[in-house]
Amino acid sequence: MSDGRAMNNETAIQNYRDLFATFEHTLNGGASGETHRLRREAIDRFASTGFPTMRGEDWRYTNFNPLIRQSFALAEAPGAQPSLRDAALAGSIDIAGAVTLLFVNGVYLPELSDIDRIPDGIRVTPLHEFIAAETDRAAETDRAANPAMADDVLARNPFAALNTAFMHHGVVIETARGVTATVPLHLLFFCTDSPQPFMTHPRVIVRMASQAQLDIVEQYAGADGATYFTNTLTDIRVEDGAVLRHVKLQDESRSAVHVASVYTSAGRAGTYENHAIGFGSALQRGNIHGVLDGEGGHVTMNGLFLPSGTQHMDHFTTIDHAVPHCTSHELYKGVLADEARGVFTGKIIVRQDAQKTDAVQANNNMLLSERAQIDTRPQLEIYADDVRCTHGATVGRMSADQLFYLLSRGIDRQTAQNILTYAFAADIVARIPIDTVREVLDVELHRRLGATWNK
Amino acid sequence: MLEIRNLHARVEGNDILKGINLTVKPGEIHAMMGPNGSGKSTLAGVLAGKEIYEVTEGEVIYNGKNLLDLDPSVRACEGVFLAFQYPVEIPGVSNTYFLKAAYNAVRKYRGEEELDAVDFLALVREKMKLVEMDPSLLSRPVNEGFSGGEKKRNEILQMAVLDPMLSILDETDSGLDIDALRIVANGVNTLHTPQNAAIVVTHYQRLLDYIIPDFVHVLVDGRIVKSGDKSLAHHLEDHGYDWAKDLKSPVPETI
Repeated sequence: MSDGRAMNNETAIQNYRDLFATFEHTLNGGASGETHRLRREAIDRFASTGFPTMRGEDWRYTNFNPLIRQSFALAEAPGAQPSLRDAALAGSIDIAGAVTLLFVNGVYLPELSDIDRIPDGIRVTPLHEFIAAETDRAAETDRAANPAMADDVLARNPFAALNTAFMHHGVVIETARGVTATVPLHLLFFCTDSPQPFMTHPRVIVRMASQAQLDIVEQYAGADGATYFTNTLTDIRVEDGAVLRHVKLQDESRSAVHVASVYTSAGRAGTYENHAIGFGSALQRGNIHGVLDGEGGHVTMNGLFLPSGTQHMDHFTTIDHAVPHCTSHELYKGVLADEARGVFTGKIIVRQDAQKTDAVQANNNMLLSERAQIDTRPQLEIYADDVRCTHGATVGRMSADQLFYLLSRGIDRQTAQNILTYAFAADIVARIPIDTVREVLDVELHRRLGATWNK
Repeated sequence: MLEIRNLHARVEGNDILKGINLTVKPGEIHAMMGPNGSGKSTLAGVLAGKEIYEVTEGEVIYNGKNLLDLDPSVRACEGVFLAFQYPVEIPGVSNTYFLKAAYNAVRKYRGEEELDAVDFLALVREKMKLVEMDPSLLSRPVNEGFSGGEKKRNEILQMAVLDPMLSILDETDSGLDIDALRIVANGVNTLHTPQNAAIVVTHYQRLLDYIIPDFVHVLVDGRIVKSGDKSLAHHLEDHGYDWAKDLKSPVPETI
């Protein structure tokens, strides 16, 4: 069996090499220079490992065979018909008042985006233009500006390698120093239905200059039943005193595979918040790697995942305290119904120098069915001695006492279960600091819990 | 209204109720007294439908229906209300939301129109005066961080909102100071009508100074060993339960 799997991975690798060759041809003049050297290095990196197998320590609870068995074409760039924007907005959660940047099948469409409403002091550049205009700087963007994008990223994460190999579509968001954006940027990635399964490798690069403040909502959605593979990479640098509040909303088609890798770092007194809400896709893997490299920095990583049916949602988070006096708060909650599976790995590294670190981590899970399953792995690596680190993980069923209390007041069993599930999950939504996003997600959560558990 | 016949129940393999017989008519207040472990709370739990109790024998007829066949939520909709000895905290669910969900569930069951948020709030504010409850407790999560007295008042508030036919008050006096006890008892008395009934489960006679029962029953080792009027409660107060433990239970009435 292992031979068969290896051979299948070999086939997949060859398939991706072929797709890379095709992709190279489409680049015309772009297939030279430092960025393209990096792409070639990345496809070689990917080819040396293929997709992760369950033998790898960081990947052991998720089977990526769906990606090996299915071949995905390169997504074709859609024309910028206004109807696409309507379809994307209709098929996704509305973020009131936000500045929407629309990506269809991984391709950024400035024509259908609210570019005239982008706040002053915020610059949004299509990634391919950024690469073409500033070749050397673009290549260096990955490696030098963001300590979280260390040299071994391509080796450790085959999905980051694949994204880098096909790096072309996406945006670069840069802020001026000290600017405070009053409306969130809403990056809406919408995938259409297509007869041929396709893949997208969008990349978002965010550079928060010192003292800048910005809210970003990344939403991934797709047409019902569409089969595709999203492999996104978000590369974020938060400079001294800057604040980035980042909400990631994963509401892909139930036939999609969604892999997201976030590499983020915060400098002195910088704050990075990540709020990841997972509703959709057949298979989801989220990697979030946060590095605190300046004193007084803070990272929040909160997450809520609600798989049902046969959905599989895997979260792999790392918070690396590299310097003293930083704080991190992490709370992930899972609600798993039917035969769903969930995985949470929360790694906290406290380097030897990182004295006075304050790190809190918790993962709480509620299983709504006998067949639902969660694997939860808190991992602390602490090399400093004067730190405060707490972690805890719980897996439980609904409280029988709470359920009976609701029943005894006349509330029927299904509604009582919905209320208690909502109460458990809403805690994460309530922590989202952007009012409009929190409010719409609260409504969405009500609706979904009713729809999924109130048949 | 309620007819309990030869009720036997066990929990985790231990027999707790060993043949309870009790008839409750509209307008009556029954006090159920007894030492710790006699089965008082078990009886309350069985009537409300708590699943850890297994009924092994007997039946309970409530308004012509076999109560034990009904889901706990249906029992509540049919007018059975249990005031919990230990009210449950539900983080994340506001007290108002909870009360409204319960109220409208019962209305819906009875074929009545559900109340909207504004009308409901007016109703709750009115009922809150009865138990002298701080309105700020409405927006807090159900019972979370409530004091012992606030939790018991919240139980009576729910009772006032749901307007049950048969109220079962399980040790409602436990953990209350004298002022809270007076307020809670006043709430129960105000809600009492010739059409509804209450079973007041208590260890102490103290509560019965405020809620005057029509009947007092002494429960020992899973059986009612003595029934009488309110003077029986005073006798228990003066003499304790030891004398009652020696009483033979009356032979169960034939069914």
